[in-house]
Formats: sequence, structure tokens, C-alpha cells
Amino acid sequence: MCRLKYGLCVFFFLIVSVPLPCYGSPDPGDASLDEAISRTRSALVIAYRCVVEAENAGGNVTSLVVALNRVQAKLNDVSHAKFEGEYDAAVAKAQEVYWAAEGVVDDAALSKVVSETKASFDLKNRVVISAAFICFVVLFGVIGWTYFKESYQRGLLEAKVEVSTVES
Amino acid sequence: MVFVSACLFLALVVSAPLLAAYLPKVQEPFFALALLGQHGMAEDYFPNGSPDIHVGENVRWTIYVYNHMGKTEYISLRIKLLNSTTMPPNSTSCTPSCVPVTYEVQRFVQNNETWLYPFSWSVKKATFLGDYQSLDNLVINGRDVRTNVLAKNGCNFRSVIELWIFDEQLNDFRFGWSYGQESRCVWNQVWFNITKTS
Repeated sequence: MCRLKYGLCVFFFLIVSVPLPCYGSPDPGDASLDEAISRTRSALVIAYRCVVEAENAGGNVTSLVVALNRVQAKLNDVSHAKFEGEYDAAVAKAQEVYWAAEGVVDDAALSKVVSETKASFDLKNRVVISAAFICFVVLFGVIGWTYFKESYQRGLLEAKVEVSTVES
Repeated sequence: MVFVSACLFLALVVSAPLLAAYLPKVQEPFFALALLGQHGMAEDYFPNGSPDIHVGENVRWTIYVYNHMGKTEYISLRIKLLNSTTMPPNSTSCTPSCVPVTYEVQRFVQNNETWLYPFSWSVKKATFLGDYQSLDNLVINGRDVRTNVLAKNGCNFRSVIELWIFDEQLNDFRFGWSYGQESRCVWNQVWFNITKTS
């Protein structure tokens, strides 16, 4: 009887101590893929923000937007590979997409710096041109006004009173 | 006096374009969303000119998106499958439809850019449950998509297309955009029926 109790205790202990299979728990491959996709998506969003900053600085971002869309298409392929159950391929692709997004961030940052420098240069040019234009208008006005005044006064001084005899 | 007036007028005429170049241009931002038929026009949405679709029959549409927001936008087109009783999106409060997304595509669209997205779909599997018909599987742009929508006699299903825009403050997509104190949004829908015979 005691042996039976002992046997039951051991059996119970073994049952409890044996790790149960994780029904419904996420596949470790799936979790790492989700993490990779999330990281890549974050990189894509950062790239987008950089592109918008470059655009606000006045840069031409057409090629950057094309690059962003290329990265987005690859990210869609990663999601599709995940849906198809190709986890290893999807993780590798996600890493590739992440690097591509990082590349866009670098290009956008460079474009932003170039655009800002160009904008600053353009502003200086505009200020100089505007100042020159204002000086020209003022100078032209003063010269014109002086000439007009002199010619008007000369006209007044040279004016002769004509007296005509009225025949009655 | 005439000379001074002429000078002032000339200065005004010459300086107007310069001022226009400096002043910021104010424009109302908006997005345009439209659904075009198989020939890229607002007609011929269904193969036989009838919204009754057979299982396996291919339907080709083009989704038209135009960005006039003044900057590059990150957008998401979310396609949802509804029946006549499911709540569609609300244009006044800019609330999206609560049903799960059937298909989603994301893209970056430049300012003043028009994006035409080819959208081809067919019903792969439909189950008849008494008077009701369930849409189980669709094939959208070559990809299998699982759905779970019921409609009585297979009538009055609808495809709803919602335009979501990436909000930099939320760091997520949101349905519509803000203009001042107001919220704006765009969505579109097409009704169709599923017929038993193929």
C-alpha cells in the first residue's frame, strides 16, 4: 500500500514536472519574424520622416519616394512570406529590407543638408537681388525726379509773357 | 506729380511678382479617392455589366488616389467586406467601419501625385447556409484572402475602400486627416451579389 502511494506520488511528481507542450503559443521563429517586421516597419517610418524633412527643406524627393515604395513593396513580400509559412526566408528578407530602409534614411539626410544649404544660398541671393533692385528704383526715382524738377523749373524761367495787342 | 505717380505705379507692378514669390501659398489640403471600372473609367465595374458575380469570375478595378496635401504622404488603402447590415464608415465623425480589414496595401504618394492601383479580385469559395451565403475565400491580386461575411441570398455584399493616412504624432495610420479644427476622410464602396451558378 505504501509502495503504491509512493509510486503514485512519483507519478504525480513526474506529470507535474514534465513541461507541457505549448499548444497555441507562438512559434519562436514567428516571434523573431514579428520582431524583425516591426523593426523594419519602424525603420521605414523613420525613413519617411527624413524624406518629409528633406522635402520641407525644399529638396526634390522623387527618387527617395521611389526608394521608399521599393522598400515598402519588399516589406509586403516579407509579410506574404510569413503568411506562406516561409519563416527563415522572411526573416532574411526583413533584414534586407531593414538595410534598404537605413539606406533611404542616409540618402534623405544628405538630401536635407544639401537642400538646406541651397535654400540658405538662395535666400542670400534673393536678399542681395532685392536690395540691388530697391537701390536701383530709389536711385532711378531720385535722378528722374531731379531731372524732371530742373526741366520744369527751366521751363518756367524760360517762359515769356506774350503780350498781344488787341485791335479794337 | 504725374512723374511720381508713374514711378510708384511702376514700382508696384515690378515688385508684385517678387512679393508673390516670397509670400507662402495657402491651399486647402485634400485627398481624392475613386474607384474605376475595368477600362479605367467610372463605368463597367463588373464583367457582364451586372453586379451579380459568379464564383471564380474575375473582377478588375482600378483604385485612384490623388494627393493634394502639400507634402509626401504615407497612405494605407484598407479594403473591407461588408453586408447591408454592417455599419459603413461615418464621413461626419470620420469613424472607420469596425469590420476587420480584408486586404491592405500601403504606399508613399508625393504631393500632386496620382496613384492608380490595379485591384483584381474573384470569389474563390462561397458556402450556402440555408438562405444565407457566406463568402469564405477571395483571391485579391493573386493572393488568397480569408473572409467571413454572410448575406441573405448572397445579395448586397459590398466592398468598402478606406483611405488611412500615417499620422506622425500618433505614429500610426488614422482614418482621414485634420484641416484646422475639422476632420476629413474619404472612402468608397461598391455593392455586389454572389450567384450560385458559375
